[in-house]
Amino acid sequence: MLTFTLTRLMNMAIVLFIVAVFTFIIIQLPPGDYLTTMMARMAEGGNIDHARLDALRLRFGLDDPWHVQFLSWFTNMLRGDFGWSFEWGQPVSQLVWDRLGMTLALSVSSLALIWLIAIPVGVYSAVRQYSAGDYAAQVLGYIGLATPNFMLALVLMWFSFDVLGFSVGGLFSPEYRDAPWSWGKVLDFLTRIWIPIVVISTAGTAGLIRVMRANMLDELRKPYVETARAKGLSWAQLLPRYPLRLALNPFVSTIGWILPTLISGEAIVSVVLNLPTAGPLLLRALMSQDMYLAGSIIMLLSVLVVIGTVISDVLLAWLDPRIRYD
Amino acid sequence: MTNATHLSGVDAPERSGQKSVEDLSQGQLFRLRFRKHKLAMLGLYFIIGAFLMAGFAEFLAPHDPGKVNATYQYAPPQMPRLMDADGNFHLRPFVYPMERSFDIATGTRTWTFDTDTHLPLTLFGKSDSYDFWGLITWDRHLFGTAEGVWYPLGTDRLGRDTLSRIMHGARVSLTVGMLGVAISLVLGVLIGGVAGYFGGWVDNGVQRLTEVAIAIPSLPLWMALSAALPTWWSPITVYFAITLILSAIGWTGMAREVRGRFLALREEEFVMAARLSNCSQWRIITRHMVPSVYSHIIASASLAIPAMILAETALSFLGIGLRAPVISWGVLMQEAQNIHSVALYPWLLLPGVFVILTVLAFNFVGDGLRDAADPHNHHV
Amino acid sequence: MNMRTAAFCGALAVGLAITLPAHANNEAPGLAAMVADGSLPQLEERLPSNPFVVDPLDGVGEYGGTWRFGDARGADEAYLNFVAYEGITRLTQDGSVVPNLVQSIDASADATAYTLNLREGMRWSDGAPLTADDFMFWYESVLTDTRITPTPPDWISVDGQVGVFTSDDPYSVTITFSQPNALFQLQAARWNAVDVPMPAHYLSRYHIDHVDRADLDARIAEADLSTWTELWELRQNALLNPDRPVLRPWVLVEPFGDGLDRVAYERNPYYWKVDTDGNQLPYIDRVEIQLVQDAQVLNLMALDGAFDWQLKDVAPLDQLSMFRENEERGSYRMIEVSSPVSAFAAYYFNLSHGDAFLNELFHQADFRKAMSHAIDRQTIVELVHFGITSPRQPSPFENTPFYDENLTNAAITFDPQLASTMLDELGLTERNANGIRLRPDGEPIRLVIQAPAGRQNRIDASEQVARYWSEVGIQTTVSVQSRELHQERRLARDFDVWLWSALGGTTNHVLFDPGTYLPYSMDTNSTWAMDYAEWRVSGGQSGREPEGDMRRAMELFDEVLVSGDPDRQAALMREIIAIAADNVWVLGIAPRPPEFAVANTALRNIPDAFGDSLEAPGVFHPESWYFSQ
Repeated sequence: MLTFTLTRLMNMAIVLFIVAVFTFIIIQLPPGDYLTTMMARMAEGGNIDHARLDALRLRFGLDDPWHVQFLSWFTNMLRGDFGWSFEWGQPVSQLVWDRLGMTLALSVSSLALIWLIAIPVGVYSAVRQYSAGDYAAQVLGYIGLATPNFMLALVLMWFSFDVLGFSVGGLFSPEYRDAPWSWGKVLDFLTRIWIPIVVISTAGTAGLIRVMRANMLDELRKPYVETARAKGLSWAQLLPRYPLRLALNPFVSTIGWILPTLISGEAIVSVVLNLPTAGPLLLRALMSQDMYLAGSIIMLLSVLVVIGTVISDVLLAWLDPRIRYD
Repeated sequence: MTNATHLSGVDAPERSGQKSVEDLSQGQLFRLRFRKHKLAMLGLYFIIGAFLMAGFAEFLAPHDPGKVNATYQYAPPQMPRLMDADGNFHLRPFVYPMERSFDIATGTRTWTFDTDTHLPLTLFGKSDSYDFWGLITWDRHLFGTAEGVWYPLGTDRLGRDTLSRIMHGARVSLTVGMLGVAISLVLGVLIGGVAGYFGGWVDNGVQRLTEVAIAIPSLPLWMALSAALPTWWSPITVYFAITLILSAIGWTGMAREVRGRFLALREEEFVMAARLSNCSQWRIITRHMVPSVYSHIIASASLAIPAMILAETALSFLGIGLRAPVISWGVLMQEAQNIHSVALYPWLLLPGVFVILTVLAFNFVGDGLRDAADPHNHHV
Repeated sequence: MNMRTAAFCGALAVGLAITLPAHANNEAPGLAAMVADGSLPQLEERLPSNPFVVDPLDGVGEYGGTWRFGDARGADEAYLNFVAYEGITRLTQDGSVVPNLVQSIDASADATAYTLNLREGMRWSDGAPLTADDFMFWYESVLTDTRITPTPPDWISVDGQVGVFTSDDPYSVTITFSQPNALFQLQAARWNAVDVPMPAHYLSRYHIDHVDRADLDARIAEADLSTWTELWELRQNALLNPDRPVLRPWVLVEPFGDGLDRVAYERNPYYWKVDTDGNQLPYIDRVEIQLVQDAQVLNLMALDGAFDWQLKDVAPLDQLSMFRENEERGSYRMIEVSSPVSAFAAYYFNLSHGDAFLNELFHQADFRKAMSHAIDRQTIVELVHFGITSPRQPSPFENTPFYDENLTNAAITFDPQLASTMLDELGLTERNANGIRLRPDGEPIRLVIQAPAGRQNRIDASEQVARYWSEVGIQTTVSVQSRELHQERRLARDFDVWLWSALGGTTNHVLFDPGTYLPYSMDTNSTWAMDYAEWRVSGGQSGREPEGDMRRAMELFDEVLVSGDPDRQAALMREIIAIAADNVWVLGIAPRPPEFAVANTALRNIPDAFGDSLEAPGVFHPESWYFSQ
């Protein structure tokens, strides 16, 4: 078990290094740099302040060869220094942690909602395979998967505003933003947070229903289930004892592959709903070529995913010893 | 092996039972199992319809998708009528011309029907001319009105026909998916096959590469790559670049699938037998192993297409995908991505409905294919 | 002194000492409490002896409240500056210029020297006095220090030479230019001239010439930076550093990054403006700017009444009816704000084109006129503005002293037949099978309109313009690109036709930047004639020497700069504009339609209509706005 975990951790380190190289190449791809963006903004304002541009160019070594820039970025990152955000005029590390936390919180809440729906529905679909309910569950799940997140978010936002009469935008109303937690603040928060969680969840539920249903079907076909049924056990008595528990084992591994989906979904939903998460910050950074900020966010999101994968692998190996020797 | 009578019968297995199934080839079995999946068949018909629509968009669409109309902005949809305003029945369907007024004080736009004029509908009537597939110039459209204008699904902010734009948009959106999947298919099969067949350090290296590709969440990666596309590229170059970017991630899933299958197959007797009879490695892979994972690959591919169609819309929405004047469903949805479309002009969201239906159809077909390929394994 | 300046001084009694009435309520309750517990000096000690007196529109207001507005663009300094900026001079609602930070300005007769007379007893937001030192610090240690300012800003320069600051008394500063600069007071009123003066007592701590090297190094290390210019940049930025003393009505308390979704300001206890009753301004306690990533959310929030006064990014024409419908729910009213943009889409033919044939062609006034006649402006206006604007060329508005009917209506009739004939007469008679006119070398003429991303109606209009031009045989396409690339192309003079908007509608914008009417500077409005503008800016050192009408226009403008007399200035400008009418340098479609601001119904002292969206609301004394209970 220890060897397995260590191997996985080492693999993770290698993967992350390659990710860093890729990330750096990607953020260097666009022609020009942040100063081009800044110059254009100044030109629109009427005045180009060449002074500031030259000073910034020198200060951030934007004329250095790319491998020098990469090495300094990478080694600094290992020390926890993610570089400087040009656009926000602040160290990247000051900008990203809160937002990354929000991203993680949203993703985890959505994952919880997905499981809450997918497990019972998956079990139902397996037990009542090919019933009307099974089909309905699958079709509904697929509709969720098929609806573009940004459109659903916009429609729900308008629905919330126009029909339910809620306020929109951000996580709190201005009057509750700085207030200590209270019943009113919780309610205010809930009227806003349900939209992103529902939207993000819709994209992942269908996949997990499918996995749960398949796992369950495999278990249900096993002889012990038939024996138990033959002995007169009802589904309600039987299911929680063995089939459900055994079917949940491989289900754990879904954390690994659903996390990237959730983070992607989160990014786009947050742009529409104006949520303070990493996604919109990344989009803005990419558009304005705020390269260290963009690179660090991609890097940190990747770290999240890799850690998620490792956790699910290790969990799975712990639950099912056969996998360790695979 | 072949049995002509069974080939034609859709319900053959049910009717003739186990005995005749033994006589069927792999491919025939596959088709029969697929046809049993009702949703998959429905999806397949829809996809065929969508591709026909994309292919013959110029003829099927009532208007030139780029043609603006300064007096018909944000016109609502109008269904063909048989009854006129006075309650009289007309055998030939018709529509009314519409007139718009804009009041700056209230900001409202009102539409009135001119019920004195009937615009009868025509089949194969003349309208905007077009170059069909760049080959022939023609001006006949499947349906339309002889005089005046009719916008069945309403118009957008410049008075362009929503229906015609959806039809033309299908061309780009569907092919982005197909082309992207084709590229990732080749990459995935090649890389996954090599890894699965050779195993060892090759496998290890490929494994790391896939992990890297999977570790970077796809949307941020797409965002970064698309943001890097030079803005002066022509729409067609951007189109291919976006397709390449989408498939740059797509191949990993495919490679995993193929690798897993190959690892398992390597131990199978028939591969061992081929090896013992001195077949070349290339021959073993192409003649023996690939055909046996064929159906799985097709199933994975059909599940990857909708993901790419959705990704195209997402990139367009973020403003870093395809851009007008290219017409794709993503571009159309991006243009409708504002609260006034939802609140005042909901017909502009119709391209989204088409995306949903198409993605659904592909998923059903993919499910059907997978079930047909491997009826006993329900894992992803 | 500028005539309009003088007139305004009389009207509002600016600069006259006033007697403070003995009201107990002439400062905000919060500040009064601080005075009571001794943490703040008395009001008399905080105000200058002769504060700037604002005459509130509706009347004297009440203290309190928070002004909330939204911003969908992120760290956009320009926008924050629009809200409340304090320059040496300021624009008024009627478009004239008055002294602002300073009590008065004495200009020399030849418009080369300006003496600024400061307000005695005026203080920075931390209580330190504002003196000539702060002006001199800016001049000596910032403006002329090439480590911080390698290229000085345009507004303080004439012919590339910055004005020289001198001072022999703590309350007066003289700025001397090498050439006459009659527009100095106007230029100093713009929001991009707000960096002067700088608080010497605070910022000298971060400037290498004023502080012990060891101290500075310690500060740099403490801030985790590597050079002193980095530290300087951070500390001097009033939008990022809450400790930096300012002269604005509100002081930064929550900078960018503290909460990424909000920036907040609170009242400046040492603010130097009072109302007509002697109450210290501002009335409103606090300003909160909600940072929103998406304009759609911003609009929904506005509909919901989340903003007290919002102009940018709200209530586009497409959504106007929604805003009208929700007025009650959101407790707001809509205020019309007219735009100084005289052409929402302006087409700049490149008179510095690298291609000899196109360069020659674009230089022909008849070519530009023909292209103008080819455009069906009425249809475009119907299409993108629902028909609420009227076609015109970029030109001064009817209510300005510069209005010229000939320029406004120059070649704006839609007459493709005439356009075709004119093009034929220019020798472009050969056409290919598709009807596209041919160059002498037999290649078809192809033009690309370089369009910046954003502002969809401008792009929509250009697609139509391209179609009209193609119909008269000049094949045209539109290329939409990032704003960065668009600017790069402009600076490199690498374009056929460059799309932008044209200012120059209101009196001030005609004088600020007459670039549409003559090659004035290298800024956007003169993009059509970059080589000639370079010649002018470099004093004839580089660029291309203009001839004929263009030369004449430049000479006339040089006279504007020397003349201190507004009537003479206006007469000269009219002559320049008449030349533009003959030449049609730049093509326009129509002005920008009015924009709408969303204002809380309880907000008072705001005008019912705003004259200039580019300078709003800064010029409308937001410090005198208040919420009625």
